[in-house]
Amino acid sequence: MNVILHICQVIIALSILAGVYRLAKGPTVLDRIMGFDMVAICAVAFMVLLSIQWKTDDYLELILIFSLLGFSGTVAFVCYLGKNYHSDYDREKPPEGPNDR
Amino acid sequence: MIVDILMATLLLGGSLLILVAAIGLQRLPDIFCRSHALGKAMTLGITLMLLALGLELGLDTAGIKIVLIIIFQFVTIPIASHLLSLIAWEKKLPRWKEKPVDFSDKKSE
Repeated sequence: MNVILHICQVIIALSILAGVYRLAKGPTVLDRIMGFDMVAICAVAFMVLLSIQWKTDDYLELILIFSLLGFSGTVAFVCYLGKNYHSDYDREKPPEGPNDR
Repeated sequence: MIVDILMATLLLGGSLLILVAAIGLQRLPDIFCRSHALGKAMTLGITLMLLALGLELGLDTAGIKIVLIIIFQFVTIPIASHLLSLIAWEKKLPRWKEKPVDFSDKKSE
């Protein structure tokens, strides 16, 4: 059981690395939001693995709150970008002003 | 013993599905394809891992909380993925135009 827990932790850590890579590299803002979502869900999965390893149920509220925060963060970003997001962002224009993203 | 084997299977399946989602997030060419990878494989993977946690902790109050978390993840992850692809469609982000594989020669032979 312990070996399988360690294997799963390594796999989830690799997934977090992939999410962070997409978060840093992603050509558009929406790719970065997707990477953020990936990292949040992988953090939830890591909390699940640690709860199984330590045989405790103290962290269930933490898991619930963390998934809620990840989802509301994504929805807040999307609702913000729906109003003011210019479609030619991905052509790598130079920044135009202080309000540029 | 059987519970251990079942838990190990659920954990390995869930983490491998999350790894598939991560590889899809890396390798797929388009934001729509990436949200496809994130929305489905991720939901099933995190659900399997939460089921393994439910097998570990039993079916009292912890079980009820775990059912709540599973329902919440099932609702929210596809909604987030759908919102992302909806805004990408609305803002006319560049899409992937190439054909994946051309099977037309094989079919004519």
